[in-house]
Amino acid sequence: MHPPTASPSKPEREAALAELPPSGDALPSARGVGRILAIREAGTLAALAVLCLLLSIGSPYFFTVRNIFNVLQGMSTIGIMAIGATIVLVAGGLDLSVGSVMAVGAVVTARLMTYQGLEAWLAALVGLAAGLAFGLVNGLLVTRARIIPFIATLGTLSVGRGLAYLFATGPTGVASNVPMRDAGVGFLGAGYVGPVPMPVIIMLVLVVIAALFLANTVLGRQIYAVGSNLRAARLCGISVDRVQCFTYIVAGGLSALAGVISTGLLSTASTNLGQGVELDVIAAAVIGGTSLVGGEGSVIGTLFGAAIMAVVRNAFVLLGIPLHFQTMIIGLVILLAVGLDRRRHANS
Amino acid sequence: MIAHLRTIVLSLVATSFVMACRNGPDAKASNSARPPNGPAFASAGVVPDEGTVQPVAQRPKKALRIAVLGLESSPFWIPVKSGAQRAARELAARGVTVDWIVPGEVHTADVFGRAIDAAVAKQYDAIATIAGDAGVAAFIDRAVNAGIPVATYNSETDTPNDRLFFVGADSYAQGKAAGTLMCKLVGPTGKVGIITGFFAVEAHQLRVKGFEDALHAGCPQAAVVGRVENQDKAEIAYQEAKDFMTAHADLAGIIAIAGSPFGAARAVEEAGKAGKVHLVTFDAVDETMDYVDKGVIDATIGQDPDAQGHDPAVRLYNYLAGGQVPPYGRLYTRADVITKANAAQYRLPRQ
Repeated sequence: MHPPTASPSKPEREAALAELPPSGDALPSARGVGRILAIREAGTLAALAVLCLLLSIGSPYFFTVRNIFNVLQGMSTIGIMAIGATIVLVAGGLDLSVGSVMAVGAVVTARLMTYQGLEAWLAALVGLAAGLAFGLVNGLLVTRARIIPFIATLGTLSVGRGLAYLFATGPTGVASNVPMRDAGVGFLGAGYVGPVPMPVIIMLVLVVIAALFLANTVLGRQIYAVGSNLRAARLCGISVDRVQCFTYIVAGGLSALAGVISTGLLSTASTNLGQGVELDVIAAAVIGGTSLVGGEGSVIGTLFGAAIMAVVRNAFVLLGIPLHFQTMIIGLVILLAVGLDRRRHANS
Repeated sequence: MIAHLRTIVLSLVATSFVMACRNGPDAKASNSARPPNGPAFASAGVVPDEGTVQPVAQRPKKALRIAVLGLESSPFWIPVKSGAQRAARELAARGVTVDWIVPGEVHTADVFGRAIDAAVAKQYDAIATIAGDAGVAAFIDRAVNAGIPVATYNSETDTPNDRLFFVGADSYAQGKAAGTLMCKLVGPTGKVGIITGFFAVEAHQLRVKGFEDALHAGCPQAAVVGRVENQDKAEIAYQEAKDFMTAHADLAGIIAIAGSPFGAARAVEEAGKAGKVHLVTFDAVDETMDYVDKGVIDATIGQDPDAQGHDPAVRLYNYLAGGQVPPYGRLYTRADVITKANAAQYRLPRQ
């Protein structure tokens, strides 16, 4: 948001540059990024492959086209939000408010459409804008008010849920689900192109865009630089605050988009939409190799991370896993994935 | 900054001192008037005047104030609130104020315990509260010891306490009603998937147990093919219903135990399996009723939420003004089976 307070002197700048890792994570070349991410993603992809193999042995229904698309559709809203979470985490931030922003985006869109009679596309745009604005607030709290991201977004997590209730409150004063009957928005959530569900297409397109953006644009590389070494990035002349703010805005917008998609799928904007989803979203990113201390991560890895979570959930039903083990298994998968990642780090 | 903080702290200390002085004598005065005990805690039954109980003719010596502590975080609460408001209108003629108070968004003891304490401090004459978990028992006992009768409604802990009575669903009986119905729908060898709300919520698990007991009693060959939780979310129910149908091509039924069952209905409708995969759900929120009307949900089990909002306030008044004690500790509300045929009478007025 604000430019660096004073332009760094030459010795300062040299010292800062010396602090940056020699190659790789900060300000890497596009090819460098590709190589590192390829290695990082290979581990997650292998884990996913093993999981799929076990499941296809366990259930003849797993490797059917229908089930694969079921799994992909099931992970699509988490996957879309996890793209934003990855970008925030790479820049050294954290966004706990994503589930609430999802609900705000959904409820604002549905309300404007159903109760205010706004054109569907316009209502959806306002819903997305609400998400972007929410992200901006998160960004300003972190960069201007200097509140650490965990606390700032913990606060906005509650504020957002309250806003969702407020926007959804009907004449009775009780938070209600808001119905949504537009075919266009319905298509975003429940439509198919051939056999492929629309939310899956949206997720995959966004993953490609985000991956190219992070690897090939100046801003994308600045995000890695800021997360890798904040001081060095600042001394290099990167507008750290602006970069951080940008990441929260992206996360807000993507969360609201996930909310709109979910509204389309269910023809309803539920006030409890996305409650507690932040943990799944962050877990997807972390399983995919994104570091919680910034500077490392890729959206492709996150996609695989989200896929692992979705496949595990799919397994609960396909294999009829007893209910007591279900939540435990999710936790163990996270621990295993992150544990393996740590080990890989230690070895490299 | 520090000077500001000091001012705030000092004013807080001063305020609490003044409050303590003001509340002191009242608290002492009310200690002497502990209300007598009501029916046995675990005695239970259905009363004929559920939802229609009338205020007694006797008038109290002073104008009474009754607090009804509730929630507004989901559409389930719309009829509960309107029930409480109906009680408020009926009792207004007798000079009674009924206040609908929403202390938070979840029904846990930390939220409702504090709200009970606050209602005692505000010198209400009676309190109706949700008593979601065991922690709330101590708060209830404290209020009763301060001379204020307490009724619980909607959900209550098994931990015995001094509440006068409870108005709400018999979760096990609701589950049994669903299980008996499912047996009829899926036939003797049907495969059924269970989507519960939360594994950790006792009422949800009681419904599951009632469901399975009744299903197996009526259809011993019927198979439960899986149990999953949807955390009261439509999206998760949608996904789980799809997974059930994928894993079991011959699936005959899905029971959605708790919140947002319409996600499962969406999945059944999308798969074109309405009428083939029989769906039984709980409660009558708008989204659910839409699918009942479409014939995607075969039946949804009610719990008379209007009576849950209405009856506690009226019965508390009858206790205070006329000394009337309800016949049971647990006044179970009807587990209505709502189908396409009788849906209209359970629909909420459109907002």
